[in-house]
Amino acid sequence: MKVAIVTGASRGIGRACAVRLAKDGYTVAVNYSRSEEEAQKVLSEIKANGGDGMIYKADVSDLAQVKQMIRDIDKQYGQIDLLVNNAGIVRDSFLLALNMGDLDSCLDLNVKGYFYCAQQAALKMFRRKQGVIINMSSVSGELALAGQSVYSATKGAVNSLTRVLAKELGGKGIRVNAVAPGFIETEMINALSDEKKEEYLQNIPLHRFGKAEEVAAVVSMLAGEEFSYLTGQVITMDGGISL
Amino acid sequence: MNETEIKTKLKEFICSTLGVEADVLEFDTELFGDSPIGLDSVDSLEIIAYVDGEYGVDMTGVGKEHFLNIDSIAAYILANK
Repeated sequence: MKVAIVTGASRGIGRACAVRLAKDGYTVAVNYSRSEEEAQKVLSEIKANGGDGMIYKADVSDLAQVKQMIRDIDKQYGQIDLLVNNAGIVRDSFLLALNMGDLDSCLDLNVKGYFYCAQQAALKMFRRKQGVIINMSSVSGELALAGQSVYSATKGAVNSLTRVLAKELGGKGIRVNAVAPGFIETEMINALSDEKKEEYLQNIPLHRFGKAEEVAAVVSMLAGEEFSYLTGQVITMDGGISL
Repeated sequence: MNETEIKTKLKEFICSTLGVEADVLEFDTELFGDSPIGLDSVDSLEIIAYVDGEYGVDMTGVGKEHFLNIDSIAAYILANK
């Protein structure tokens, strides 16, 4: 039995990752911060598919909560094989209108939260000299979109973090990679006007938005043994928008 | 588990995992830097993971002063267990 933790797994890409990894045979800890009902639905779906797991409420921008979460999950299952660092927020704003509270929130969750979870999960993986960490990045980490300075900066940080951790932890049997999705059909995209959606689609060579399940498939691949020589990479899957 | 037992187990771990000869390692021997033992920062990660696994004590982010020697690591474990 392998154990995976997916942060921010109550909806969107995190949800798809949790469901997919359970299908792959992982026991999945579905982390959530606020949406207990949604997290419970994810767990129900996992169980309906014959999988197993738990839901765990923790704000991953709070180190004390992260420490407790990782400790509890490790204690319950005896090991942690995979961490999918996924919880994140978007607070788009042009520089001069930037609210510093939003800046702090983004940095706390999208950057510090990734550090906290990676550190605490690696601590457990270290013991067995094996493990995989997958960081959810974004095409925005490389692509310059006006109004996304904060989100882009946090995802650029995630890309750098991925490469450095791969170097630090590789000798201890821990692989670290990232996935950088483009526009994915989530609540955020669904909330856009039809005109805005069309505008985005014009710039995507595949002329469609991606699906959360397609991101989860890449996460599944990166976690798998078949890709055990892959580390420190940021896998972009964006329908070609960054080309 | 008393203090001496913790120190003895720490010494066993450092010798078996980090390749330090037992006869040059006392409880108060300096572990890192220019000391004859000469452990490095990667070795400290092994110690952090060992302490976490063995005693459930989290030493991530803890200051260097707690890693001076076996005495100081054991003192931290006892103070935070």
